[in-house]
Amino acid sequence: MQLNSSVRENGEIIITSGDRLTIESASEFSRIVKESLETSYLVAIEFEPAVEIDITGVQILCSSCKSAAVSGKVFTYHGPQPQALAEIITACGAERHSVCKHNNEHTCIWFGGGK
Amino acid sequence: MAKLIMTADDSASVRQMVAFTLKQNGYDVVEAVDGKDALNKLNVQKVDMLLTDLNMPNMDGIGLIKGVRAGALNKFIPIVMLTTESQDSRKAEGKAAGATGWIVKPFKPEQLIAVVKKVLG
Amino acid sequence: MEQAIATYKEEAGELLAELETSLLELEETPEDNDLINRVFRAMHTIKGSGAMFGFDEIATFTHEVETVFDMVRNGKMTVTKRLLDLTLKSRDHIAYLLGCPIGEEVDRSPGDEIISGLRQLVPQLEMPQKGSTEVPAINLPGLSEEELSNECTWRIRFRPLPNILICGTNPISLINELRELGTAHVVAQFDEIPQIDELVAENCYIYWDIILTTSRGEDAIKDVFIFVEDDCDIKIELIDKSGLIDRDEGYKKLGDILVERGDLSPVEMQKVLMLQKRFGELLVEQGIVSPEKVQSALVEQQHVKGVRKERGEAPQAEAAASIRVPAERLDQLINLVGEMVTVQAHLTQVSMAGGDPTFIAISEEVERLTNELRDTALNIRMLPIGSTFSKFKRLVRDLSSELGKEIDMETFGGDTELDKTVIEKLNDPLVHIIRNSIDHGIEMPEARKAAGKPSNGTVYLGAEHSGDSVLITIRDNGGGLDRDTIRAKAIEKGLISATAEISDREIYAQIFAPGFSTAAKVTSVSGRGVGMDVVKRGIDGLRGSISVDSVRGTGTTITLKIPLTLAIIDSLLVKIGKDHFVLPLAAIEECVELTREDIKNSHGRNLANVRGVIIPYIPLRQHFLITDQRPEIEQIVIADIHGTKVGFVVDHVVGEHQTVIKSLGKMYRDVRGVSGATILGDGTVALILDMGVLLQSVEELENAGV
Repeated sequence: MQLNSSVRENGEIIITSGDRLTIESASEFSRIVKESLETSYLVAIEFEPAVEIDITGVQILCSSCKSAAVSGKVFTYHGPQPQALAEIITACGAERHSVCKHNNEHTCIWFGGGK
Repeated sequence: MAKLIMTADDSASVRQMVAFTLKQNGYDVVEAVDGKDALNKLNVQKVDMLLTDLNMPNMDGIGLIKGVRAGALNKFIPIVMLTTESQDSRKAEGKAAGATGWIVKPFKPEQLIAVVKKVLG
Repeated sequence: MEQAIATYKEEAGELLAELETSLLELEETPEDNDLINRVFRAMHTIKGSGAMFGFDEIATFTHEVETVFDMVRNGKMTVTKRLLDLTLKSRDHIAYLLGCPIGEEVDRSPGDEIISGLRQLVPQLEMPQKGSTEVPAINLPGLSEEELSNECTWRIRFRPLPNILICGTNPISLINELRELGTAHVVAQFDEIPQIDELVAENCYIYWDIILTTSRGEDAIKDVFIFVEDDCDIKIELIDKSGLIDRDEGYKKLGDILVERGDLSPVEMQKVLMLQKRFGELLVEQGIVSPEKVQSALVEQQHVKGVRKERGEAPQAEAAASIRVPAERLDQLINLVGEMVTVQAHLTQVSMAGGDPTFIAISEEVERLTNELRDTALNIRMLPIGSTFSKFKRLVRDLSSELGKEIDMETFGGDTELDKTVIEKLNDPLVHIIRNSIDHGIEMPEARKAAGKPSNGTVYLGAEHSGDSVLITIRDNGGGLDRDTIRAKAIEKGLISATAEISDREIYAQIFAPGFSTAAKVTSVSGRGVGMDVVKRGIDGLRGSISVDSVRGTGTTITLKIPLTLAIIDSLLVKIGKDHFVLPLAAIEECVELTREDIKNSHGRNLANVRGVIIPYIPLRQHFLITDQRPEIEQIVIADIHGTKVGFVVDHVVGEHQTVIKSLGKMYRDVRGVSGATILGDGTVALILDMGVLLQSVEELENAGV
């Protein structure tokens, strides 16, 4: 599966990660998320299990989440989180320990955190 | 999978030494004899890193760095330039062109590997 | 490598030939900058490569000549006949050196002569100091680094410029390099990541706070950032040092850390301190400092406290506090301990029969040790249940978003320990219960709002110790169970009789019956009526019990009571006729006698009067169809089963027994009321009775009117 998006019957947009969410695909990924959030209230990522993720990928996830929260939309993911995401979260010290003020004081579904 | 590193240098001995050292440490190597040769190859082959000399005929290192950063396939790879201590201004020029790091010639094999590891992570 | 050296010699030969040509041309046109540059570059290449291939003599010598030509190149010297003579001689000397095998003594005298001649030509005696060819590119670990015995803790704020990623730098590998220097805590700061429409995808917005304790100095830290020092903002501050007189484990107050970092002004700190609440919470509440920054400062506080604490302890304590062992080896250990317990029981029996006091003393000692060994071995298999809790958090998140509900999960008691096999087997039942809570329990957000409840529901999952069991509680603040619907459905299914007076608890317990579902429609999550009976079977398999409490409109609580371990239990050994049986001790309260007289007085009903309380009993002799001679005085073992007192009549109570549970073969697995078997000291087999199931099957028989 390539980095792509598709619309479901209920209006939800599913973005498939393709095999890399890295700097090479960063502008494409951010464009897809941006356009999806403009047109749907519910945007979800489906990760390839072996997807590669770098800092740009992490930043786009965080940025999208902030944008969705501001506009009252939902930015989430389906299926399991890929190994690479867990790894990069640990490697770059991105685990959250508290709720996210940019996400309306909710726990971050990407980087953890509690109340 | 072993990482693929391109070494671009007009000096065959430096290329051989770099290639030998890298291969011994588990990297794959592709060689280029000058900037133009390197850029041509980088337009069609994805590599993980570029080690380039600065003084080369047929497009020097700075031109090569600019070319790679302006290209598509290898736009974001780490680029390490081989400089000499007398080339501080060239080093700055290379950084401005988009180099990731540098290694000062002459260098020992273990210094080369230390820089490669540092940049490739 | 030999090949590369040979190539170098070849190249150097070519360069020397070119050098010679250039020098001779230069004699004709001494002002030709192009030629001067060619000479310089040839020298430079010979020098640089020479050092790389081990021709140190060539490198050192050529460096001197190159330096002179650098001056010529920069217009500080002019080309003279004498200079060209010396340079040509240099060429010859380099050619000579090239021919010398590496490592052998060479004749330095012509070289020294040339160099001194060249130095005389240098005008402002600006000849730099001898050979600096050994300029290392970067500091290698342990090479130039002075090992400092003093451990220091540093606070590093690493804020890359946006373009750092485009230039091929991976900040994570830099952070990993820092981690390699010592103990590091890394907190990535996300507050500068803009919204998606303002995001330049390839820019770096994240910055890092790193607290690093290392015995390497500040230079080692700076070296990590050597390639990016112009592409980022780096602040390195020393915040703690070993050998400080202050041996206190305490560290700076949170406020002071934030002020030092520049995340908070001293005036603001004073203002907040006046309010007398937890400082960090207040800062966040008042929006003065972002929670992430407070968190990062707390990480620093923890890190330094940890480092100081460790320092205070004996260095031996650094040895591994835990080791990893394959689970199957543990299982094997438990098996062996089980065998040991069985053998020990035999030993005790034999020693008692023999009556030799020394032998008895030894056997008692073995018994004591075996018990300790058993407890220790079982303890090793204990794991905190919290590891599975996190999985359920994920389940809740996924299911609730699928169903369009807003549900949080809160857990408590995650550090409660349970046998690892128990934890594994708990997984499925918990999944079903939690699914059920999410699907049937918690209402849709609108319904919740209409009922005056917060729109997001909560599922609580907790564990706590209770005697030799662990209580696992799954509570939701949803709509609660509908008593009447369940009752009606249970009657419809023939599970209870329409006239039966039964308690709410018993009605709720019907949801665990196979195929039971009150859901009007089947959803993807639940409603097909499979699931809750799986829970029941799973928990039964663990010799546990389930109870359900529910209040309509406020929520449901399901409590699972699970024994701590599955492998070895304390039990009561009893005898009926020639057969031994084992009853788990946990539920047993007391044993009383049952005489023929008592039986007569109860007029054929199985009821006993124990100190004025009427207790029903089950004559196991009849239940298991044991027909030999009934003793004059029997024993009633009274147990508490889910809050009901029930007696089990046996011939003799032998005594307490360490029961190593063996599972029954396939043939007997479905025998109701028997949960396993054990081997006694003399090698005979005793069945382990499941009192709860026994009671249930007797009740069913009675309900069926038999």
